[in-house]
Amino acid sequence: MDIAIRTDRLTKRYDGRAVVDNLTFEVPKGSIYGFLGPNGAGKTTTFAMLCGFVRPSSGSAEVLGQPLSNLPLGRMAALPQDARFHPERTLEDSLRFMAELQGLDPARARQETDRVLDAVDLNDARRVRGKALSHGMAKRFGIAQAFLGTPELVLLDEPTEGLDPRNAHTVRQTIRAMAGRSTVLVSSHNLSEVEDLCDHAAIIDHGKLVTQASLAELTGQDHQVLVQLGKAGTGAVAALKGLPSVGSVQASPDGLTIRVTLRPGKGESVEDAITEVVGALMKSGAAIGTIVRGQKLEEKFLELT
Amino acid sequence: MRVLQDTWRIARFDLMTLIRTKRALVALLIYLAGALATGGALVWVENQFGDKIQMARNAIDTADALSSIKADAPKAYEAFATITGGDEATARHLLHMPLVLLGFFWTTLTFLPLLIALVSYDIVNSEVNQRSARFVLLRTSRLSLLLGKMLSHLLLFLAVTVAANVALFVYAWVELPAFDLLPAAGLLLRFWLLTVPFGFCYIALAALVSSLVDGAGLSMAIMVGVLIGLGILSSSNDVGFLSPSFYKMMLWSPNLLTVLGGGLAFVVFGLLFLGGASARLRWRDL
Repeated sequence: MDIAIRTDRLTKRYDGRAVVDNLTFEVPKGSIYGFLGPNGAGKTTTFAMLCGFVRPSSGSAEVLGQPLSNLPLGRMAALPQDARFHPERTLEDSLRFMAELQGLDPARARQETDRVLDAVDLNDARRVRGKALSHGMAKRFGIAQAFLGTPELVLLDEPTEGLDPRNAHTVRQTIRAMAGRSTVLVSSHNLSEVEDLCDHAAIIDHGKLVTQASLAELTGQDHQVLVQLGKAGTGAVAALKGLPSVGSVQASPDGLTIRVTLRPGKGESVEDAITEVVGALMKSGAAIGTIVRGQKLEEKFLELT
Repeated sequence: MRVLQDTWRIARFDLMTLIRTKRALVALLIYLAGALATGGALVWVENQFGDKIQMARNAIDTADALSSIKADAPKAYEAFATITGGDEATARHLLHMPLVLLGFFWTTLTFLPLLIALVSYDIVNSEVNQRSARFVLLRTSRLSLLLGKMLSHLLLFLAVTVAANVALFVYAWVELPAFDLLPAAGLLLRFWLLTVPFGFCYIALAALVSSLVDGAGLSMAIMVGVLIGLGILSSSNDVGFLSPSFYKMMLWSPNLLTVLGGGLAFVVFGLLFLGGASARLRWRDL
């Protein structure tokens, strides 16, 4: 597997306190990778180190195969949190300047400026100066500059925070369109957004890595089902426990929710195992409300942090 | 090559930003006002005492005029010695130049560092504080950012000095009947060229201070303090050579090599300040 970002015991200390603590994770090339954690978990500091804004206290990282001391400038883009652009310059001027710095010739820089302004719905505001931007517009400007050209790697720190639903949707669509062409690392508090967008994710807490995996693994889509019953009953749990394709069965205290861990046999698919579970439940006379494959990312997040 | 290209792109963008923030206009107005005030005073002196000045010019090559001035008018001699560093050859050389241009160049050497302190005090820390540097540093190196910012400020001051020079030149030409156009233009060009290393040195100093200090107001105060400190240091017999101000007198010399040496000294100081600013920027978090 090709790797876009690889960190090895990356650490940042401020006044002796580790904000990022021995963080080791890998972002596969071409993936849309969610970077999750509660407030103060160290997400923004990790982004700042990966972009070269902040020097690690120890550990190392490679970005597109190059060390932090020699970052592949121009091949990567980012939406840094809290960065503002020149208050006196228009969006258009600023974007063209950045496109040219990225190595695009003036004609291409103009085209790219038009394209990204369009993509974030800021075409009408192209002549607005930095100082006159609302929070949402400034955020969209930040995203627009990250989409200039065709960067191989894009790091987006809270890209939809503070955006109205329509603009957030537009941004998500743009990120989705980058899948496969670019690697996108997205930090977000919006777990359903990460679930919707990302194929891989890492969860960090107090600067340490809690877990990293594909989203299917994280949410247990390939080995877990959640059964919601209409009414409680012990028969359902008993019926499932004996099945060969079931690993474990866990019922909620009220008996209305059953979490089933699947263990498909040789030559058996997850779908076969789910069919077996549903069959056994029906046979036991359980009143099935809903069956959901895997668990919500939010549940997993709360479980781990 | 990439560093140079990016430096130029950043300088171009930053220069336009300086113009839009009206800093360029403020710098131009301050400089023009200073130039015209100095020019006005010196044109008046030339008009009032033109004959006597011309007599002194004629006499100075034929007799030991300075010695007699020293004996007859010690205060006048003292004032002249301060300007010329007490060097008689320099004094003779300068007396043959139009008073207006001499005064203007002296004003440049005296007040340009202060103007740089007032306009360029946040040359680096403004980008760092508002974190706009982050958008740029995803695309280019910290060195390019620093060089680009310095180049834009240098171009601004060179443009401002050209504008002030031209205004003064035209004023002197209109007001002084004896103003000799061609030699004066050559002299003006020479003074202007010497402004390049001189301005570079003090812009690099502003960049160093602005890299070391985060607060914009504080960096301006420190820059002004450093300029005063360097001025005092330059008058020391033992360690004066450690201050760029020490080399100002070399720029007045009749000897071309001495003038070039003075220019080189400013370049060397500028490079030292630039190296310090670059090292600080390279190792700090942004």
